[in-house]
Amino acid sequence: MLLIVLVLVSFLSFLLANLLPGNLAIDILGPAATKTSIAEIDRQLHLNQPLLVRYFEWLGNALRGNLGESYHTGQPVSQALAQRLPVTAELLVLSQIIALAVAVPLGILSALRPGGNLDKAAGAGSFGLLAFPPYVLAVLLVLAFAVRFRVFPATGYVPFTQDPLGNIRDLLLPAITLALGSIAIYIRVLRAEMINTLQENFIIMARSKGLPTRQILLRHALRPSSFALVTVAGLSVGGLIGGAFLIEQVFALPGIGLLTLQAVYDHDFLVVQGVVLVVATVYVAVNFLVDMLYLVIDPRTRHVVATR
Amino acid sequence: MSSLPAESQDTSGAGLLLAPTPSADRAVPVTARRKLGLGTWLSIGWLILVLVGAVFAGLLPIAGPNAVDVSATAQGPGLHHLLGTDELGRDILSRLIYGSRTSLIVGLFSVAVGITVGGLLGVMAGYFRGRVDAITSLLINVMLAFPALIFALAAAAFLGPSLVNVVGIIAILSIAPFARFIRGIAWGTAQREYVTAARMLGYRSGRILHREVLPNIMPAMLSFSFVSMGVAIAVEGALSFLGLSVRPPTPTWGNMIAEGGSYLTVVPLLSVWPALCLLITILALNVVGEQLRRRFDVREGGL
Repeated sequence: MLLIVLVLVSFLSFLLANLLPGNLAIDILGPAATKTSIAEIDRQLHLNQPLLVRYFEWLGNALRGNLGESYHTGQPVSQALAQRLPVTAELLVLSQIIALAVAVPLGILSALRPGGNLDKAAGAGSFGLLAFPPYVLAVLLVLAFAVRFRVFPATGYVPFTQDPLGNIRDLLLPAITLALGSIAIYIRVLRAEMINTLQENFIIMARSKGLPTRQILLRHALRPSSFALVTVAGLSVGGLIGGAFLIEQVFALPGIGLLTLQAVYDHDFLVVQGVVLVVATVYVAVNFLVDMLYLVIDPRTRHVVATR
Repeated sequence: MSSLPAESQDTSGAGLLLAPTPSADRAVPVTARRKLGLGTWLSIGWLILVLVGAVFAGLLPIAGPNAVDVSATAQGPGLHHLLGTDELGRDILSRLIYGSRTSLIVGLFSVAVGITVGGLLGVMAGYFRGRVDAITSLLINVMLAFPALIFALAAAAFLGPSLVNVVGIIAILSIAPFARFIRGIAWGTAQREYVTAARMLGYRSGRILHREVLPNIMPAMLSFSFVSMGVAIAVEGALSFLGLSVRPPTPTWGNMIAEGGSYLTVVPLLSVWPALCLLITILALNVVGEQLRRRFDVREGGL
């Protein structure tokens, strides 16, 4: 199932890049293009071959890790991706750490007293945050923290290996921007499931045994309540990557977002295809991992899988 | 969220998650839900204001969106220009009002396409199930696994930035989420007794869909439409922000935020106003969608 989705996505990305108007050869040659030079480029890039032939050629190469070379820079696409991916990955991971660190405690405490002050505040806050598109949030945060108060740098990036502290400092504001959207979603989801769990018999049992609330919440209730959270986190990867693209643009972070934007402006479609393939693969892989994670969270699902 | 969970592929991640969290609200007393709160009225008011402003922008006593007042560039809010002027001396309020047109057109059109195409696919998949559902769900999953923003970026860049293109691209993107959402609701509705009864009476599928299923999924569809209009507006803003939607000098909220971004230190409020408009509009759409959902107590079926 996942593989079919992946193959179809790769084909769609190929179609998208190839069917859209615009002539690549003219793009490369510029206004000085002649008929013969256009034909020459088409031949070099196999653009004169039928679409399906080119697709399978590209897919076959992609499976062997060869995504072709950028038409503009001549750099292999896989190399460009390998250079840029760590930046985006770090941004995503950092944002998710921040999001979970904030959302899990707030979600638990909201569920503990539904309708209480904290619950109301967290609910209203997360509802409001959901309305913030990442780029709007990014511009407002830059305005507040980089222009007005100068706490964080507005743009720039240092690799982690060169300057770990500087790297974190550069990525913190973008990561917070990205995290805020996730926080809103995670609080809502965890709270909803936690409220249901807290009405289960085993929680009443744990309470009547006199276990401290803290222990009940963290050791008994959190684990069975994290299904929806894990699912939603997996699902939001696609949206997060989209958000990361925009945030990289605002903060000038050299991740795959900037790479893609440049490629899109340049009509450099092998790069775009490569990015789509990688992003879709990550999305499908993460959601596969989420399915696996169910087995870790809930031993009962292991049994279901085994007997199926 | 079924076999391949592929729900929130929209760029903000918000749209689909607002709708399907019904269970948590059980703690709210029923009476409290009946009255529309102040927030809802404010939201409705704001949406009407934006709509009226966009439609009658030409009749309002404001400067044209591209009229340049050379004597007053980069000014703060004042009497003559209520929200001030940008770096070229153009009236910010006027640009905001004219800018709302793009957002509204994109939002309304994408919802219309989402409801008709996505809604149709979803209803068919949820009602007929079996092979129809398998094929439709596969298509939906593929569309949702395809990175939406990259699709929008690439398509906008290749097709060229124009209103028609942006409207079309975002409308296409809204099909899959609608189909996914409606499929779940239709699935649940198709299992209800009155549908079984209609089947027993020997009615044709077309009539059952039209008379029994559709009216019962309308409230959910309406609620989802508001939320998803907010998402569409956010995506248009993102494209505008990247210079891939309607081109300047025609104002859109997104390109105004981007323009303001380059003058953050000179005219800080320049990007704050369009950002606020965008936020309040999306928030208002979410509030109204949420109210509708609560009102009709939309339950998620079969997900």
